[in-house]
Amino acid sequence: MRSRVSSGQGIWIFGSLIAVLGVGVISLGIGPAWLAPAEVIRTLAGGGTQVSRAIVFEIRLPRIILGALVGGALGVSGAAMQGLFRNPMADPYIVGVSPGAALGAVVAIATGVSAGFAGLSAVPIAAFLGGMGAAASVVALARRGGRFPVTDLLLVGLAVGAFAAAVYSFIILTLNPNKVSSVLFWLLGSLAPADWSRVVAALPYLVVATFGLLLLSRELDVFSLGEEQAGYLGIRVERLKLLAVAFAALAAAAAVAVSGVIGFVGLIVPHVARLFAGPRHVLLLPVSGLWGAAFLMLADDAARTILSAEEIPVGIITALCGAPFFLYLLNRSRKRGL
Amino acid sequence: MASEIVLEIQGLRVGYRAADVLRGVTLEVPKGSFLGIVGPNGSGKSTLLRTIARALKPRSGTVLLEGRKTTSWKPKEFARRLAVVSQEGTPAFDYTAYEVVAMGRTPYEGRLTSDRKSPEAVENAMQTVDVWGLRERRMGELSGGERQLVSLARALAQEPEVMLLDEPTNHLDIRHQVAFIEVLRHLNSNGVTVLMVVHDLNLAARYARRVVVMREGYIFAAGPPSVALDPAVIREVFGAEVEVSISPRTGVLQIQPVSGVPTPRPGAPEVHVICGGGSGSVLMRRLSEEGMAFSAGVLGLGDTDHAVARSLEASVIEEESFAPISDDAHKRNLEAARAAKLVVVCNMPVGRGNLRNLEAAARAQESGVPVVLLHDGLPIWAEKRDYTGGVATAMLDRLVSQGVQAAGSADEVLDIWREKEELAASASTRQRKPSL
Repeated sequence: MRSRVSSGQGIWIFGSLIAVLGVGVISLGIGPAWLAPAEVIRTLAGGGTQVSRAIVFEIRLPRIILGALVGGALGVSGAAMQGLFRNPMADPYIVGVSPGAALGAVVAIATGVSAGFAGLSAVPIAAFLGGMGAAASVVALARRGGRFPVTDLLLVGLAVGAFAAAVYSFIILTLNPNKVSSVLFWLLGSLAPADWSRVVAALPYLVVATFGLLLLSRELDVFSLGEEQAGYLGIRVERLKLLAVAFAALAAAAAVAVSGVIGFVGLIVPHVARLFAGPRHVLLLPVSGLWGAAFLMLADDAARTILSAEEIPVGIITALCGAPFFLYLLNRSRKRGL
Repeated sequence: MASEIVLEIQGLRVGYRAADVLRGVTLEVPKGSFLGIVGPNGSGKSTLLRTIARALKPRSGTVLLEGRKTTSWKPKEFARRLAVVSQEGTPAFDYTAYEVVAMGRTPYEGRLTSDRKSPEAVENAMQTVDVWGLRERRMGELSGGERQLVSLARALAQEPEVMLLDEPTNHLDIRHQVAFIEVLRHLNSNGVTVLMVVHDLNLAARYARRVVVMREGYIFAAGPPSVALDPAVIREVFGAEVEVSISPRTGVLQIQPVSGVPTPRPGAPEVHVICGGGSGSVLMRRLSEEGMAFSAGVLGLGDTDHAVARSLEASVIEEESFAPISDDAHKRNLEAARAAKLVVVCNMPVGRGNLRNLEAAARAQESGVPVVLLHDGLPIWAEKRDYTGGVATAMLDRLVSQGVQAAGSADEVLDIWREKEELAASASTRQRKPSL
């Protein structure tokens, strides 16, 4: 039984990994200058022309790696938050991360601070701090005598998020129109500003958060029995909640900082993964991460190419393709009586 | 016999908000006990269980597991010794039954390492509870009873010394209920201490070796079932009038509310039941369910059938305990039999003392009252019921040869009764027809 489960597990993860690499290679070829997959591979291996090397390494690769990292982190943390809240409506931004990050970014854009750090401009840094600040205040406000009731985390997250949204909406009203469009672009999420410095800056947070959540898989399974029963099985429930929320917030804040608020990936991908790979987090989290990576790369391909003159914010694509596909799957699984 | 104390609860006070739900509970639970905890809603029984299991923090007082404060145990070590089965719904996501039972191994497994014994322990647990066949099924597909059994298997997979159960059999049908409890008894006989909160007093009386009765946050009574579940205790704690009896068939303590007894329609008895030794109880109950008035006799005081007939408010022809049927009683029995529209002779033991009961049936038959022999599925008059050296059997044979009908169950008696009624009704219409 156990060995069969884990060999099936291996197939899912291996297959998904191949799919991610395939999507990555194709995405590297897509753009104003089309490169065939064979040429992409040749270039990656050190061959290719000087032009193809410039296109692949300088222009496309950082963006695609960033897309994969962000998509993966959103997939994993979305799955973890749905597990923690035992609620399929949960996503990585659930503890107020996205409105908090948006507030940070809007403040940075509005004030026009130009101070940067480690090759990053002020906006991603402010967004990261805003997201983490919101998550930290949600956790602090939901605390009740050493405990963090899940429903309180959810409700306080809503309240803090609404508050932050009110503040940044007010700031946006006072902005001049050219700044408004850059705010809007950021709010809808985009990988356009990707470069190697953003990849390097986000990488450690995304990796730590993703692997941190992967380590919590088993405990998240037990958590689905309910908090009290999980406690009876020897889980340190409050610590698990804190760790999971902290890792998810870290992943979400880092992702938002480098790519804006990309919605729907962290909500839909875990769902779809659960329909295919089952509810066990040991498998669900890596599969969600890999599919999230592939999905965001594909969505970004579309964002880059649909309109030849300009880019579409990738968040619009993820919602536009994701929502109908999700409804289709939901309907199909209902018919099967699952 | 000084047995080891596995759980020691001292002066436990627990409150949710302002009010204390437990107001000073002290209890020692010896290793290997099977303890039933009963009490009305809100008496604190679930709170007691959850506090022992560390889900609630007491305001004051302590709980010791194996002599150590429960709060000083590491969570995983605690979970290896104590498992909890509560009434729970489905998991939030659709795990298979196997996966859920495997979660019971959590206390033995690290983040990255698994316990080598786990697959075996999970299979053993599922085999013991008899849910191994459900292992591939998703929890959402299972019935409530099956899910509860899977929860029990999960607790077993923890290999605990102590099991706490909070009304585990509440929504189970009787088959699952019995299966569930039998597993608990099996575990208990292997030394596992069981503490079970139950609503059903009869369940506590039947299976627990000790019963704790709680009321308003403290222990009102404790002891073996027959002591703790005294009618006076139940009246005081639950505010209900009950009758506590011992089943003559199984020796089980039975607690029944004194209400809901069917009352017969007023009127002259239509059926006369000749019985004794419990042979007529089911039939009399059945007649009373149908609202039919009946008489019974001759029954000795202290006979089971006598008690049943009296409780069902039948008119009973009595005799002193173990005394032979007197002339007077026999005469009244004959009168009752002749006055009835049907006489039923039950499959009772017959000795010299009550042989006149058969004679009464024969007389009734002679005077035209139909007689039915109720043999309850046994061959008519098995020999061991005849303690008269063949006299009773001969009398019965004679009855049978005179065309007495036999019935295998109380319902068959009713069928015969209805046939006779219809026959009588149609006969009377036929008689009336010419006059129309």
